[in-house]
Amino acid sequence: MSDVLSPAPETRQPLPPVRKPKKSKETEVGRSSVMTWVWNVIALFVAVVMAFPIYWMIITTFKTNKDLISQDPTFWPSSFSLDSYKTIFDDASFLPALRSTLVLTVGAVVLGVAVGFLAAVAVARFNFRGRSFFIVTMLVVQMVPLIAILIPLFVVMNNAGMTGSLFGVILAYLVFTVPYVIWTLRSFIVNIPAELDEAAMVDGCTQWGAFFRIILPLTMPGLVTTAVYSWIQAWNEFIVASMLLSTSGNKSQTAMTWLTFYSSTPTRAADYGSQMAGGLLVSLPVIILFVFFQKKVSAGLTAGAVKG
Amino acid sequence: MNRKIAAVAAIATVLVASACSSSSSSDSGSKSSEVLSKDGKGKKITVWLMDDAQKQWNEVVEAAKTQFKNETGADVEIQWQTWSNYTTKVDTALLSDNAPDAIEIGNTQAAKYIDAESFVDLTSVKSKFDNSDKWLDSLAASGQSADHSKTYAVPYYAGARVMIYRKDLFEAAGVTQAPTTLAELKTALDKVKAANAGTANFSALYLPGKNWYSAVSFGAGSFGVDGVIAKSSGDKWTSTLTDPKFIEGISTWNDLQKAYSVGGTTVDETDQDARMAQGNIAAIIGNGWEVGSVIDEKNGNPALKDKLATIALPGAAAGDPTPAFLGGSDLAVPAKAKNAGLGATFLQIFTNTAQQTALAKHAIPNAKNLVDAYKAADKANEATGNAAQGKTWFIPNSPLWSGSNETELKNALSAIAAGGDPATELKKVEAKVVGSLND
Amino acid sequence: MSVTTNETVTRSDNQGPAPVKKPQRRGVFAGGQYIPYTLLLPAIVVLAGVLVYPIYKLIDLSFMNVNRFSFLAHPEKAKYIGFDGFSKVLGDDTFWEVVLRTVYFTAELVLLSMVLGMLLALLLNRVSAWVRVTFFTVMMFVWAIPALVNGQVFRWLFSSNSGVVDYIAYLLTGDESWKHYDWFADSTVGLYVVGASVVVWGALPFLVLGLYAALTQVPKELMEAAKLDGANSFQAFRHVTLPVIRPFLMISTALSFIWDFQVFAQIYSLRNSSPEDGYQTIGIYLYMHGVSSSQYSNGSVISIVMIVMMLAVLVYYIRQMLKIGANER
Repeated sequence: MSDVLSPAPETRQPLPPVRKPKKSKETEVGRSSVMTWVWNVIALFVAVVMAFPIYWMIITTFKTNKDLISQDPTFWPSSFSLDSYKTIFDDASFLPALRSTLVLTVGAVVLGVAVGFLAAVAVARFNFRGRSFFIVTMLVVQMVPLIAILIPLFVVMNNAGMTGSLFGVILAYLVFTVPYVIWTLRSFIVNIPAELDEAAMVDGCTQWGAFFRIILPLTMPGLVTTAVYSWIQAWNEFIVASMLLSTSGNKSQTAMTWLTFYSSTPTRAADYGSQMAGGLLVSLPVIILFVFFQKKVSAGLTAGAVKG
Repeated sequence: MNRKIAAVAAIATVLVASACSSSSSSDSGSKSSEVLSKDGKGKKITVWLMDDAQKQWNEVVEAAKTQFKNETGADVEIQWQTWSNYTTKVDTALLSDNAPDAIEIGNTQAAKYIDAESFVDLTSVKSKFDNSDKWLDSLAASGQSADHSKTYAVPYYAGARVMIYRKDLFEAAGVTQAPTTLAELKTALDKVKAANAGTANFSALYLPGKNWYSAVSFGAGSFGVDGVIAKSSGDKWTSTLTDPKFIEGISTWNDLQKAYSVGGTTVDETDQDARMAQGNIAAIIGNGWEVGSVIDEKNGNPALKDKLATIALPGAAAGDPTPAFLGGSDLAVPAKAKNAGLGATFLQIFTNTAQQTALAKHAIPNAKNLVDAYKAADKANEATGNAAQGKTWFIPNSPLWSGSNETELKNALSAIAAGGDPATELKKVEAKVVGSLND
Repeated sequence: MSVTTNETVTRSDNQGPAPVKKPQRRGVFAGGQYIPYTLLLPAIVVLAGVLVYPIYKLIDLSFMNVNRFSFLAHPEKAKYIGFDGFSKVLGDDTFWEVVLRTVYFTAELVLLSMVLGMLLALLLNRVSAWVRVTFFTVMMFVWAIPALVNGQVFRWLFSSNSGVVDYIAYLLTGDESWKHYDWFADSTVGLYVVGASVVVWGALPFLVLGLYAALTQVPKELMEAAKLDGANSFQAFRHVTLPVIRPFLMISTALSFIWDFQVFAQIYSLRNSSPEDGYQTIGIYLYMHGVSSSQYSNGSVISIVMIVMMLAVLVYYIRQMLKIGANER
C-alpha cells in the first residue's frame, strides 16, 4: 500500500459516449485531489454502514438492563457494564473451547494448505492424464452441500473410530479447504516461469532443492492468502464440529458450540449481552490474524489468480 | 492410471464394506448384562444432561453422583448439553459406538428414538424406580412404546405454561380479583387496556404469533386435550386441525390477540420476557421460570420483582383452566451404551424420591405425589403446579413428529395472527403438519 | 523418492493422445510420470476417504425409503424404492416454488454482491491511504464474525420492537408508524431485502479485498495508454481492467454462486430457526425436510437435485476455467 497517495488517474463520469480525450496534467491532478475527497467521504459512509452491525454488537455487550429494556434503542449506553464479559471469563469452558478451536483450525489450515499445495503443483506443472477430470472434480466437491452428507460423514468417522477426536474434524474440514487451496495456488505456481526452476537446476540444485528454493518462496503470498481463507472457514464452522465431537464430552467442544450455550432455549431466556461478548471474543483471534497479515492477504488474494 | 483407479476403488470398497458391516450389528450392548447393574468398581459412566441442571439444581446432580458412587463404586461424568441443535447430536450419538450411558431427551423427541429401538427396555425394572406408579401421566406416556406396553424412558421433570401478569397494572385498572374464566379475563384485559391507553405500544396480553404452545392450548380448550392436532387410529393419523371446535379455540386466541396484543405477529415467544421488562406489556403466557427472567438483574427489570403474579390460564368455566402444554424431559439409557446397566442404576438414583424432592424447588418433579412439594417451595409455583396437574395436552406422539411439523404449525399461526382466516390457514397447513406422520 | 531417475524417463509413452499443440511441461518436475500422481495422492486419499462413502451413501439413500430415524438405525428395515423418492419430492409443487425462489434469490445475491464488491473495490482504488486502512479494518471485523451470529444481529436490527433500523427510519422521517414497521411480515421484503442484506454484508469482505487486490495488478501504464488513446473511463475499464481481473472475477462469481445457492445459516437464524414458507430457499428446505425431520432419503434427493442444478449452471464456467487452465500450460 505504498502508492496510496497517487491520485486516481481517472474519474468515474457517467460515461457520455464520446469524451474529449485530452486534458492538461494540471487540471487532472487538481480535479483528482478534490475527487479523492469526494471518494473518501463516500468510502467512509459505506464503512460506517458496514460497521454499524458490529458497533451494535459491541455496545450491546456494555449495556445495562436500563438500556436493554428501553422502548427506543439507545445508540450509546447510558452507563457501561462489564458484566457480559465477566460472565464469559467466569465460564470455565470458555478457554478450553477456544483451545479446541485453535487446535482444530491450525490443524485444518496446515494440513489443508500442505495437501492442497502439493496437488496444486501437480496441476500447474504437469501434464498428466486425468488432469481436467481432477480439476472439475475439485469444483464439484465444493458444490456438495455439507448438511446433506452430515449423517453419512458421521458414519464414516464412527467406523474409523474418529468421532470425538479433533483429528476427525480436521479431516472433514479438508473437504472445503483443499479444493479452494488447489484452485488458488495453481494460479500462483503457473505464474512462476518454468525457466526459473531450470536455471536453478543448471546451477546444481536438485529437483527438490529447486522446488524449495524457487517455487515455495514465490508461492508464499498465495499460501498466506489461502491459509487465512481456510482459517476463517475452519474457525467459524459449527455444525460438523458439533456433531463429530458430540460424544467426546465438553473437553473438546469448539468455541462455536460453546457459543450456542448462550442462546435462548425452551428452558431459559437468552443472555444476548454475553452471547455477543462471546461472539466478539471468539472472533478476536481472527481479527488479530487479519491485522497481522492484512497486506499480504489483500495483495495475495488474487496476485496469482489475476494472471491465471 | 489403472493403479490409481484401483487404489481409489479399493479405498472406497473398504469404506463401504466397513460401514455396512458395522452399522447392521446394532443392539448388541443391551442384552449382554442385566438391566440394572451395581457392578461398577473402577468404572466411569457418561451422562448427558441439559445445562439447566447445572445452573439450577446442580446440588441434586451432585447428590445423585455421590449416592451412585457409594452404591456402585463407579464415577459419573456429566456432559452438559444445550437444546440448540440437540436433535442432530442425539441422532448421531445413538448411532455411534460410544454412546453415553444415560441421556436426557425432550419429551417431544422420545417417540422417535423409542421407535428406532435406540433405548434399553426398562419395563422389567420400572417398578424399582421410585414413584413409578405415580409418574405424571403425560410424561410417563412419552417414554412408552406406542401401545403403552413398554417403558423406555423415565420422566425427569415437567414444565407448564401459565399466565404471568402485572399485579400492579391490573390493580391500578381496578382488577383486584384474578380472573378465573375467559370472560372475566376479557373484562379484566379491557379495563387494563383502557387504563393504559396512553402508553405507546401497549399490550394488555401479549400473544406472539409464533407461540404455538399457547395458541394450541386455546384450541385444546374448546376441542379437548385428547387427539388435539391429530388423532391416531392404529397406525393412521387424522388431522383435527380443521375440526370446528379446534378452529373455534384458535379463533378465541386470535380474537384475544387482535384485541389486546400489539406487534409480534411474526416472532415467537423467546423475547417476550425482555419485552415485558420494557413495561408496556401487562400479561404474557409463559413458563414459570420466565418470571425470573422478566426481573433478571441484567436482561430484565428488577423493579418488577414484587409486581408479578401467576395464574393458570383461565378457561371457559371457573376451575376448568385452558389446558397447558406439558413440556418436560425424560431420561433414557441408549441401547449402544457400554455400561447400560450402570446407566439405568444412575437414573434410578437420580429420579428417586429424595432427589426429585430436592429438584422440586426448581422444576415440576416427575411424580404426582411430589408436585405439592413443588407448589410449597414458592408462591409462584402454585399456578404452574396446578396447570401441570390439571388437563394438559401433548403433541401427536408419533415417531415421525419433528421440529419441521412444529415450524409448519407456527408459521400457519403466524399467518393467522397477521390477519389470515383461521379456518383457511389451518386447512392449508393441515396436510403438511399431519400428512408427514403417515409416511 | 528417487530424484535422479525421473529425468531419464521419456515423457511421451503412455501419455495417451498427447496434446500436440501444447508445449511440454518444463521446470523442476520435467520428467517423472508418477510424480504428478504422487503429488496428488494426499489430496485424493483425504478427499476420497472423507467424501466417497458419504456421496455413495447420498446416492444410495436417494433410492431408498429411509424417511424415519428407525430405518437409519436399523438399515435392514429400509428398502429400495427405485425412483419413487424422486417422483415424490419432484412431484411436490412446494419444492418447485422453493427452487424458483432459490433461483431468484441467488441471482439477486450474486449480482448484488459482485456489483457492490466491484464498485467498492474501484472506490478503494481512489481514496486516501487512511480511508482505505479504515475500510479494510471494518471489512476484517465483518469477515470475522461467525455466520451463526450474523443472522441474530440482523434480526435485532430489523426487529419491529425497538429495532434500530425502524428507529432510524422514524428519526429520518418523523413518522411514528415506522417505529413498529415489521420487516418480516411480508416474506418478499423479509427475504429479498433483509435476508439479502445479511448475506451480502457477510460476503462483501472477501469480494472487496480480492477485487481490490486484483485491481492493483492492472498496470498503470496500460491505463494511461488507454487514456491517451482516447478511451473514456468505461471503455478503459472494459478493455484494460476487465481482462486483467477476469480470472478472479470468474472464480469469485462461481464461489459466490455456490455459497449463495446453498445459503442456510444466515437466513435460518434471521428467522429464529423457524423460517416461514416464503423464506425457504433450497438449503433451508433441505435442512427442514431432510435433516431435522429425519427424512434422510428425501433429503438425499433434494441434495442431488441441488448439485445437478449447480452443475448445470456452472458447466459454462467449468469450460471457461478448463480453457484458462489449458492456455496456461
